[in-house]
Amino acid sequence: MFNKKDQTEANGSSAARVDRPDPARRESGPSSSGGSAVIGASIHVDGTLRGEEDLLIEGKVKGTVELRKNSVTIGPTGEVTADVVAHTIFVDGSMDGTLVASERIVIRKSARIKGSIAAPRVSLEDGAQFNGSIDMDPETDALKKAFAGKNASPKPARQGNDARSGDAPASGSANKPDSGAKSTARQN
Amino acid sequence: MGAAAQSAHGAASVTVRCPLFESIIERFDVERRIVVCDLGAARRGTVALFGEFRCRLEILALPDLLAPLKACESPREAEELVRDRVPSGSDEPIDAMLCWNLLNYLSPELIAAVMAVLAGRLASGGFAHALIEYSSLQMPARPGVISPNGAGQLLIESDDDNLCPAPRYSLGALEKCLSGLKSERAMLLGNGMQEYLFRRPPD
Repeated sequence: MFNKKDQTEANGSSAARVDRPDPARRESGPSSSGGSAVIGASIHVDGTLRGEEDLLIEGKVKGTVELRKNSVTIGPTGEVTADVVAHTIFVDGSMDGTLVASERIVIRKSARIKGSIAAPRVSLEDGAQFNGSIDMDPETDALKKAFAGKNASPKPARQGNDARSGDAPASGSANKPDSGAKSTARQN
Repeated sequence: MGAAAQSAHGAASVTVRCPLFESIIERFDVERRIVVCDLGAARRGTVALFGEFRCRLEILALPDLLAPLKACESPREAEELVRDRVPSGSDEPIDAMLCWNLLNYLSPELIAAVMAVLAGRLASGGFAHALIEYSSLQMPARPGVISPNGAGQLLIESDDDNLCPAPRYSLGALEKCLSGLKSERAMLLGNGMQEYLFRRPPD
């Protein structure tokens, strides 16, 4: 059987279509103590990002993103190869690495993810491309390590898991870099 | 058009009750951590169902690999492809392995190669659940997607009107490909598919 071509061979990637979300649908997301930061589509960041405001990534980020009290959104043009730790994470774009959120992770249909994610609540839209692991155990080591000293949100009682994916990411018009970031950035 | 006829004639969407799958879910305790490995594509219903548990869900998305798998010239090459899809840090024993539909599109040799990588990770007493085209002589040429849809039910969706011969694997034939797993039960479903339950014998 090996080395034989099968006329019926098929690629089951029914999720190959990439839909570009309408930016107009973005609404306010999780609470933020002070505005949002945007990494634009032409920006490359290589390093560690830390801070205390919500972040929208439309560019390319490699390294580490730590916004433990805020949301991180990987926008439709975002390409992230990093370990991301945040309160809430929304993924519309491309991600290769680790995502850890103390509250929830929302994977939209345009997302392309390879890696591992951990959060007490995870929702995923049909059409999203995903290869990896989804750890939804509030007591998993990944959450304990990322949020040492803080408890991740407890999982709601059975039947209470919200599988809807209509939550909108935090987004803002501000484009100032995170004041707490340690990074190197270059523009195309 | 009945559910079985829909299954045999390409594009369709049908929900079927799967008692053996339901029996696996009923064994899970919401207080205990479980590990589930889905060989198929990521689906909303799968994440929603297992999100109700303290679950690590591994998604291998193997249907994307059908063409490369069939082009492999040796079992070892096929095993390497599958191994690349196993998430890093996957050292916990698997409580349940979801082999939905995929096996219909693999030869016995390829099924053995896939399971050579994965079956050893099943926990003692762990289950593998498979759906096999059985009543129909033909099936959609491209695998559809399958996901939980309420308690004990699976939603089977296909968007392919082209048909190909269904292998109609028997429980015994499949057992020979699943290294170390023993067949437990089989049930004919409302759409003409069979659900098979295999188990790694408890230590």
